[in-house]
Amino acid sequence: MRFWLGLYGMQSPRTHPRSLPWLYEETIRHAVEAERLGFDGFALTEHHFWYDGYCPALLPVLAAIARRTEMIRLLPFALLLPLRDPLRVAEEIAVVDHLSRGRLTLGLGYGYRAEEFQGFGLEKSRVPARYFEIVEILRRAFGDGPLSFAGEYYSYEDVEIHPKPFQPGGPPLCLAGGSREATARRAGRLGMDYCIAGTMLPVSSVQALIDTYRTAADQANVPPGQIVVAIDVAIADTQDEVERIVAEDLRPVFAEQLAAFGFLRDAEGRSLTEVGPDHPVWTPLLNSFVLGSPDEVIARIESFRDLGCDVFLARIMEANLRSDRILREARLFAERVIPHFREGAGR
Amino acid sequence: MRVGVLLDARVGGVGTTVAYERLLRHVRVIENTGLDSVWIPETHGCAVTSLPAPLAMAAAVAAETRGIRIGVLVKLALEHPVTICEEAAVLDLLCNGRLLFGADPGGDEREYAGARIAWAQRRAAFNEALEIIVHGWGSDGFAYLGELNRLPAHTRALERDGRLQTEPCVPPHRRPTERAGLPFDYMSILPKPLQIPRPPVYLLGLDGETIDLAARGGYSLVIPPSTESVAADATRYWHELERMGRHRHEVDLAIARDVYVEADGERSRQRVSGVTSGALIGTPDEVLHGIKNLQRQTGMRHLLCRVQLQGLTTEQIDASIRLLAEDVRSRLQM
Repeated sequence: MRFWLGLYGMQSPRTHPRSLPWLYEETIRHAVEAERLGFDGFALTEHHFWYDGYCPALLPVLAAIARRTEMIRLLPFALLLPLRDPLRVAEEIAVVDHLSRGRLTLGLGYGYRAEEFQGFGLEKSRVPARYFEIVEILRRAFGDGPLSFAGEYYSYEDVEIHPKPFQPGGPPLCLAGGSREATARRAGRLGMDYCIAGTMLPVSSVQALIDTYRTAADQANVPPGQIVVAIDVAIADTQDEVERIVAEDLRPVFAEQLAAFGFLRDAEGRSLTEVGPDHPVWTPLLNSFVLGSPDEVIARIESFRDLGCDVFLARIMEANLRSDRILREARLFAERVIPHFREGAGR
Repeated sequence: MRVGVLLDARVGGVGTTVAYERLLRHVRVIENTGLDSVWIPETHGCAVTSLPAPLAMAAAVAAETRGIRIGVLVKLALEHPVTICEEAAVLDLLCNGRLLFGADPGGDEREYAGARIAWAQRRAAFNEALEIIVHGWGSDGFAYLGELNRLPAHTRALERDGRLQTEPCVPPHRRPTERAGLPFDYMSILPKPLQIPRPPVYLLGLDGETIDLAARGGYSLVIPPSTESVAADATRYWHELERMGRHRHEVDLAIARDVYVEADGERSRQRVSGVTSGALIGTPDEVLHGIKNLQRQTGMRHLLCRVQLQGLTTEQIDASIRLLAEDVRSRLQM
């Protein structure tokens, strides 16, 4: 099993405001540290037009990280693909793939905030249709020679991107974040890697998505890609410390971000602008987190491994870049959790 | 006078990865010599050594350097303006406010095959992109209506006249967390760049229209290496700038030239080939003389040296960069 560290968004939220240039510098430092500790990948997250400065441009940041690291895989999780011009994003990916000597794995997301689409002059309707056209264009663009494509949103005749990526055929493509059955099926059918955002999902749903994905790959007769599960983690030696992380970071972060995203609605369907400590959302949220001592964390991750998950993306970083704490948790995770799974090398 | 270097990846006989590595190796030499800026243009069309994503390359340059200014020349019409605006802002944060943002209105027709706009729309696309990018960096909330862009898609703010509306200040202010679910009439592109009021903006003066646009907008100008009418273009720029009531010190005039410096002047001229007519080739004294002449004719503030000339090895290029810094720049009045 492999382990990625994430998800860095270079945010300066109200719960932990920091200077933006410092956040970028510090994120690069964390990537260097993640490599040294033995994580297999380092993951960034993207949103647009967000009040806390959430990074909207991951590929340049990964280009910078590429120059300070040597081995670790570089992970945009996720590029919000429908917001980008297909050929231009293909070219930018190719450039960063060369700058990193083939270390990109692409998390490709649908995007879900209406504002993000509107800010690019687009409609948030039939997002998957647009998304899968771009996925197909990327695959053809990264392959040998010119591409032609006739779709509903994009059409090309005999155009070619230069340069082609470092990795032959392009970086692995991972459908990131969709937790609907239909999305899992689609990813499986296409043989894409599949990243399940496990936060808020009960384990039974994760299992159902993985089963759906594998069945779809089987039926389409394509080799299944790797399965990634991304979940918030709080790891510490003592129960007190875990509780402190939850109380000081995770709860305030989610209270702020859930309200701002407007996911939660009241009885009349209006977006909630305050999420109180007794709101029912906290139960599934906290239940889905991987919390506890190294042994408890190992037990939880074993259950994901047994479901067939290939990569665990430990979301130790959630909006607040509280640097000392995150590095302490990352170190504990790398020293006590990762080796446990490396020993079972048969998998 | 500032002296910078214009680099690209067009190196013969090597693969893309090595070409990019060489570019970054030159960057480290340039920073160590104390030159003022390094510039990354956007190039397309070569199967191996194209550099279609100058902002991504500039981020790598940022990671390799600490103090030198980082210039880019981005072909605005080829990419979504909001994407360029966001990437440049992120880059400015990544490099601690060292970005010099150059906008290139050029490109040949082949580059527009598969582009989001048609070849015939390139001028409108460039002009609109420039407006959107500058407002995106500077504005807390704006809505934009052009021939090619309506942002945000469903804004109701443009029912009034004009192509650009900024968000009125209507109390009580809503906290960001109270905006969820409200109509999205004005957009705020975030994060903002580090430099205040914004990164310096340069237009690549490929034609009179762009030179005038730069002067009227108060933008700096880059005159490309291929330009022969450099004195006339500079005069046009300064004249138009002053006609608009602006002062020369608000802006920068950068001129790009092919440059090669070697102690032996005869040998230097034999080594290089395929250079543009305004090239500065020769001993430090000769090149210094050429720069001073150019400065006198144009009022140039910033020389952008294209150093990767035909016939030169990587080592010769590095040696030329060092001589340029030590024997030429040091004798130019700052």
